[in-house]
Amino acid sequence: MDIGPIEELSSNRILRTAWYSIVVGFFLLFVLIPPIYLFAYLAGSFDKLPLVLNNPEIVKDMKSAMSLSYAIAATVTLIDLIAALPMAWILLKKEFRLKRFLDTLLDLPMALPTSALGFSVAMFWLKVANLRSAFWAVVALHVAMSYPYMLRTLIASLKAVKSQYEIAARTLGAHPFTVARTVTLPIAKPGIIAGCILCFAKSLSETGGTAVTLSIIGVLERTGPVLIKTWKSITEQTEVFILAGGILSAILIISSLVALYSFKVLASRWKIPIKRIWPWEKRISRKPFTSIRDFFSVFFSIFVVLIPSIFIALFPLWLKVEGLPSGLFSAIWNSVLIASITTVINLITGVPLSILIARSRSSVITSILDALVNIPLIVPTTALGFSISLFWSRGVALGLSDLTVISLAHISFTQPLLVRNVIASLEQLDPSLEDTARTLGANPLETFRKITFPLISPGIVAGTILSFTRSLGETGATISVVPIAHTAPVYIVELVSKRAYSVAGISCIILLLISGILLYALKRTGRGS
Amino acid sequence: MPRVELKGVTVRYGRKIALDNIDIKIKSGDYAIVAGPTGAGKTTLLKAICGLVPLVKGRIIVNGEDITEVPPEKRGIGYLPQGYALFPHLDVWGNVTFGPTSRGWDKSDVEVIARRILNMVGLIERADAYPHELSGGMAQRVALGRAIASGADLILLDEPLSALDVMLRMILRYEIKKMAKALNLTVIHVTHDQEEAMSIGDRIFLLRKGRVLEEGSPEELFKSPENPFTAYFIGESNFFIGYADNGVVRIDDLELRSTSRLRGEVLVAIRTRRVKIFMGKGETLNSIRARVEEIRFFGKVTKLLLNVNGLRIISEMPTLKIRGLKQGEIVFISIDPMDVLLYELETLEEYPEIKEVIMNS
Repeated sequence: MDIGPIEELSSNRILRTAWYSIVVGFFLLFVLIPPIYLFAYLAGSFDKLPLVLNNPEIVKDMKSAMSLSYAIAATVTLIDLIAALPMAWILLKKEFRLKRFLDTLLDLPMALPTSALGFSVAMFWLKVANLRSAFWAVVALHVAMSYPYMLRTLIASLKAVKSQYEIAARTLGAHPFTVARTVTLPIAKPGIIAGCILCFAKSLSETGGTAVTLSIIGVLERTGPVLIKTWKSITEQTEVFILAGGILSAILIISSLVALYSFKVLASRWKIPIKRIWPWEKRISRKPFTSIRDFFSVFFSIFVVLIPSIFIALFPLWLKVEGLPSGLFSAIWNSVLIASITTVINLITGVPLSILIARSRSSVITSILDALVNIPLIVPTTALGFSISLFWSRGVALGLSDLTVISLAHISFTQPLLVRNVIASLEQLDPSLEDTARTLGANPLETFRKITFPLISPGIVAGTILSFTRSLGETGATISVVPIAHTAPVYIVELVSKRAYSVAGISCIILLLISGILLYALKRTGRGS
Repeated sequence: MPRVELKGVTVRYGRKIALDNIDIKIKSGDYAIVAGPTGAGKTTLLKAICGLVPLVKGRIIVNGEDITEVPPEKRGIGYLPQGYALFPHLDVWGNVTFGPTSRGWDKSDVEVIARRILNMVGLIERADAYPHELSGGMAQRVALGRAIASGADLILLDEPLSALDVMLRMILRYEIKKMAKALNLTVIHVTHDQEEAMSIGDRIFLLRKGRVLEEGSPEELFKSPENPFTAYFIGESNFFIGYADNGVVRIDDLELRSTSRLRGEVLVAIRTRRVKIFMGKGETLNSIRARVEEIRFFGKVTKLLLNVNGLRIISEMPTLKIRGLKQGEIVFISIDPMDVLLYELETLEEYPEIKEVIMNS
């Protein structure tokens, strides 16, 4: 039998174990060790902590930033849930003109860099409603940004509820609203909880757009991540500010993990009350109420999410165009470069990691890995970025370039996106296909190349585009490494803080177009599978 | 034509034992059936033979060669998993040439082989069709062709007919067997359908909870099952608890003669097909008066629920032979002493399925 040397090697157990160890090691080193180093660093500088903790101004800033961040995240999650639930229902179960169009457009805020989104949304509310409250302006931004995530998660979980259950409940005499409350929602609850966690984490983590919004509104209040950014940008980097940033990052990491895991536990235990049926349920299951509900959900999605997000496209109407932004193209180039490096490394390490997790679910190590992969999705990226920058500049003083460290920070929170997608398509793959390929004479590597890879490639492509888009639009993890990094999202933050609105506007439109193209590509691959 | 031998094969999933010390010998060219209820370990047995699950212990020997440590791609055993696992991204041609190509055979040879195989299974015209465009019967032929094209002459089939509808299932099961015999294949065919097992198996291995309970030809297993579970799973049986002494077993008030030498409290099994009915008074031994309580029509055969001295016995008769019989009528039944099968009562504890049958009759 003629088998190439590489393919022969792939059947070798020791080599495979070595390869998997490298992949897992990479994941741990680049994603998990930096936060641990952060805690070690803080513990090591224990004697210097009073420098920060006895500074009343820093402590006050920290307290107000934390409470603002959490208040905003909670409000945003609640609004998202209330507004997106009926919308998910409508998009899933009703047919109307322009439904597909609306369905696609509502994903746009996901693809847009949040700093551009922040500029657009803040301008919208300032011009339309003269909104000047920092709290509500940031809430409006975060709702526009996180609503699509909530919507997608809810649609996916409602879709998973078999319609037989609902039909059975209807034939047993329940009104549509009662069916939704007592049958559909309890079954879809894990998905609803996941959606809430996702939105809460998104809001807590958001940096670029929030900084833009706050500077447009012109207030001094700051959220947690924005405060880290502020401290990081103070030019004379004294030990105090590094320590303060470290403490705040540590608090953000710990508190977000604790808050979200305890929310998950509590919400999973909580049972949606289904014992009683109220007389008004029959009434609101019927026509004017259902029409009002549908109208408001669609109205909200259009006027709170969609139009504010693309409002910036109209900016030439009220701002004079003052020439093309000179620094934009080099900034976009840098962003694309970082996103490309990030994505390539994600692919090389993420696909094997996904296979390892999906294929050996029963083992303890992989189930721990499986849980760990989610952490970067929950922790605020600014705090994660801060710990990574600290780790690579102080812990491992290799003198890495800024570009490298920024890419490392981006890998930490984009790799899970790829891994989740690939795991999902691996789980849908019938294992007997690979088994059969083996019995037909294909060795493990050939089986992967000829069977597994072609069949999971839609998942890989979707995960790749997603991680590329996220890296392209990220502000927080970038500025927590280098406060004045020359990337597209940071460029917009800088322009807005210099009040160069016209140039910022054009930059946003260009980014909007790029994001639109990426989104279209994502949709195409999604449909292909 | 390979011979297959399994010696003490044991497979474990975590703590659960899936196969427990399996010893099997399959003659070259045999069409062997592995039958058994869901969760018996049938699929695991096939996977173990083609090397897809590791053995805790035991050896697998094909043609006298120990292949226990050989990886699946070098065993040359054809495996058709449930649903056939045709590669959805490859057309029929791509599926059939997958094996030869993977084995690195000459390109021109691959072409010749694929053409010959597709001609043989009658699908040369559909060579560019994708699996989702094929009917169930075609998909099965492609899967079989694909396995043979890779050079396999030992074929493992996992419930190959379960996805088809009843009519097609009946036709295709003879078709597979005919093809296997024509190509001199040795086949191990897994099924939970006892009728399928009896109609095409040269030899049946009855598997339950990871163990082989009994093996034999279909006739042997039907006529004289050594294990009550065989009487339960292969062919339908009446079950009772009785007291045996001197070739006579007493079930409540009913006395039946049996050729079994067992004594004391026993489990009694009587094939429903072996409970014969006479409209007039019969002359044979064990001829007993019975009242027809219920008539269940099944087309060619009819099942009669009989009341014999308060005991309920089911008889299965050709419909033509009992024309005109009505509910409530008195008939005579006769059971050959050969067909009154006796087992130790303790065995009942091992088979809760049989206990349930007794409780419901």
